[in-house]
Amino acid sequence: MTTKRDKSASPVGLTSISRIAESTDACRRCGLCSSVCPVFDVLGLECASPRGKLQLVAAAGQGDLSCTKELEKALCLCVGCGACSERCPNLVMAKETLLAAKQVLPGKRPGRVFRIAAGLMSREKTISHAAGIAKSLRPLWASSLPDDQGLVMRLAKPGARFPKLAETNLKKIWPRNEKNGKPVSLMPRDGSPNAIAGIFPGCIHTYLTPKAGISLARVLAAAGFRVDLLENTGCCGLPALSAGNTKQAQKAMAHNLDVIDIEKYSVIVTPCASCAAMLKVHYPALASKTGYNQAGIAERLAAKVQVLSQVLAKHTGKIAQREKVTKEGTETIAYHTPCHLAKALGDSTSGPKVMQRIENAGYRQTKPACCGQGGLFGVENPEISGKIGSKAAKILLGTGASTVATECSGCYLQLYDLLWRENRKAEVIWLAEAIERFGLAGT
Amino acid sequence: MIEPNALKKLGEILGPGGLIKDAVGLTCYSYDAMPYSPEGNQRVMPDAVALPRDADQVCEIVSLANEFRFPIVPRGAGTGMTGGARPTMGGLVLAFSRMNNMEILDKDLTARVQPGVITSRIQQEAERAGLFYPPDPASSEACTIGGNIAENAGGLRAVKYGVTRDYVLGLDAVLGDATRIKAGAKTVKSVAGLDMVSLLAGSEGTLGLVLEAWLKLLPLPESRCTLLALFETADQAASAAPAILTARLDPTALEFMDRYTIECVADQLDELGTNIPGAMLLVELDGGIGDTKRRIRDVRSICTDLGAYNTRISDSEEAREQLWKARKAISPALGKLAPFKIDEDVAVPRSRLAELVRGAGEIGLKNGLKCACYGHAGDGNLHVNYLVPAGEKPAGAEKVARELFELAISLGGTISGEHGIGTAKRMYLELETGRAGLDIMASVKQALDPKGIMNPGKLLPKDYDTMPGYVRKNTE
Repeated sequence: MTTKRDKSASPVGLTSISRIAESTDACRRCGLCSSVCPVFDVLGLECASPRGKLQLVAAAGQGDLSCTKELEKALCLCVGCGACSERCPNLVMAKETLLAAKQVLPGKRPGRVFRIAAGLMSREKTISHAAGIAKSLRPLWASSLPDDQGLVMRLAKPGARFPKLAETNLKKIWPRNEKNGKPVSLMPRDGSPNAIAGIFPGCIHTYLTPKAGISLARVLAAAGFRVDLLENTGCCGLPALSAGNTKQAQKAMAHNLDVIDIEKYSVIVTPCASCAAMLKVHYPALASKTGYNQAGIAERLAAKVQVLSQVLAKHTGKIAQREKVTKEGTETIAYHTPCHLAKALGDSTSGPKVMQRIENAGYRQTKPACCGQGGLFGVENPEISGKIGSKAAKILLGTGASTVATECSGCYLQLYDLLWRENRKAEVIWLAEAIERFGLAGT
Repeated sequence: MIEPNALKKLGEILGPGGLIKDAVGLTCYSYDAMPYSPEGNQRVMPDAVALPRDADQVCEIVSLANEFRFPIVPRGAGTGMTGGARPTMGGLVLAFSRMNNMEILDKDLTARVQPGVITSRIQQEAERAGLFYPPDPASSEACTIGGNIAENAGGLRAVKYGVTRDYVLGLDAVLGDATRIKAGAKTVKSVAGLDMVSLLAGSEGTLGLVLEAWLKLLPLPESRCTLLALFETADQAASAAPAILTARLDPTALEFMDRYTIECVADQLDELGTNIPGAMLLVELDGGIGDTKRRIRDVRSICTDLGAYNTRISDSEEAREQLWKARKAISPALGKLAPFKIDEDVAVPRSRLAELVRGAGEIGLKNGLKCACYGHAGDGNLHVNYLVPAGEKPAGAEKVARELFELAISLGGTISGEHGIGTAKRMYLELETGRAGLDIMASVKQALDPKGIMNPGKLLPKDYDTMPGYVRKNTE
């Protein structure tokens, strides 16, 4: 067909507002994007709708609107779910246009959100009302967590329930060769892998839920892969991009492209759909427009990136549960589809398809709904984010499920808080953890 | 401009967050979905935007507008095609997004709705109660019932179920002179006096504002079934449509799409494969299960007899939804073919449809413009789109549109089936109504809105303008 969406058309990485505004030319202002926008759903204001924001970019591009605080604020009213771009019958890349505009519009504002977050964390008064968070953050802030990690900023969401910080990190608990200290590969039980998978752990599995990182590796090994940890990779760079800091995002990209031996792996698995979206969708756009000389590499990496459900949807073997759950078959589980998986990667079927094979728990399928976290959106707009998210939480728990599996760091953190608010017994776990807990049937 | 005193009072009426005055906010209420107007498409900013929470606030605002004489531009979701929700000279945009409560009164088979309720929500909530709100404008997911009533919106099911007006039983409304009235009743029938509902429905916000409406609902049909029929030529498809109607097969929707329009949404139509047909019909039937199945087979044989080379029947909810989603995406998706289009929605008596399709194509050919046609064949209502190639100025657009309207009228039709007049067509209205028709409309307007504050610059041609002296503050 003639009209498939072309990722190279993404304006991400363009540096002039008038060029970026060109991607709004095709907008017919029909309003279909507004009908699927979770932020518009909560606020009902035209300036919160994708159509409104596109018109603002257009007006700024034509010089009719100057770069004021109000403009910046309006453009940041985007959770980044990408429902607008997906829904647009005219293939306008609404989400990408806003993302691109944020990089250039409000003058130079390197890492504004970075600064806010860092400022929040260093100013005790500001967040003392969110007692406990400050306490838990400080050791983390002072510890091994590099300050360019996206996770740092998500932690700054005041008042939210937050997972207990791990004492260790993934690099420390990954099995290592006793002699040279190098990380070893996990192998399938029969010892003969049919392919090599590299895990891009992202901030969350590295620092916050490292045990789930090991689960992910074991599940991949059980699916027949030899599994390596890409231990020198850093933050994917999406938080920086969302904060309007192209430079920082490019730096992250350059580092990751540098340290990943792409040719060695047949698949590169991220536990987090947002990392996957960055690697798969934004890296090629960023690389091609910013004159980054390794554009070809970005494309090659992009071609190999997948999240776990996408890998398992194609690997049909049985994966046994790791330990027997109590009262077999009485548990119910739902799956939260990350927007970055459904919209940015365009895959809303792999997750449910894999979940249907969950063995020792009843799977409750739901319609995908945005959790409202959207990386930094939830930090900047906790109230709106919470309203969007509690709708999603109600849908998930409305099925009677007490456990929700997902595969995105933002969704995980948001649901960790919001599921608990809905039902003290409900919990969110990673997809890999769900598979180890309940087992996966073969097909 | 709106006097500072009036702005202050507006702020008091609306409360915190209810009045928008900053440039960013105003920009977002300066447009709707109008593709083209001979009066120009340039952005005209409102002086302010009001976001009222209840009917009393709206009434107070209308009083204030009379006192201080500023224009009120009512806005639902800004999805209209003729500029109804666009400011033409500044003034106050009155956006109904916060007035969005509704309830289904299932014992009465009615719904009580505020103007800001999104149309698809009415459809969904009715369905949940086993009921059915038939009007289905293509923008149903985004548009609001207030806008639908103001424009008397049509849509895809009009061939069997009629238009928005046919489902409005009663209205709570405020007129331009700030009188609050009850029009119609909450009952299925009422002949108590003049039909004020019909006067207000389709008045494009030039007479008054809807504060609340009572809608008629129907029992939800037991089953629905959709047929997709592919033809080699537009002529074949356009002649099959009236044949289906005359065979008394009672379609719920009977939609025509030509080659260009199919191309625009082909990515959403898996059924097509790689061949783009010359034209296609989408036909939906509803009713009892056995009955629907029998009739859809009859529709199929008519299509096949008249040249359809491929047909497919979809009765699963999912497959049907996909088809209609693609159909509803056409209007905006045409932007893929050309950045600029002259988009008109003429309608003719149904037997004359094929003549209209042919004539519209000839006008395009004569003027060197591609012509993409689709629309409600069952209603004789065709969306004719002349596509202006990228980089070209839409010179002569006014002439092309006029030729099309003259053709429609010569076939016994109308210049607008469902989009309304707004700013986009007001210079052509006289072609259809004559001077006497315009004069009587102006008299009605004068009676209900003596100061001319309601949506000025719309519907009636320029020489009837009511607020010629009004100038927006920043352009003084």
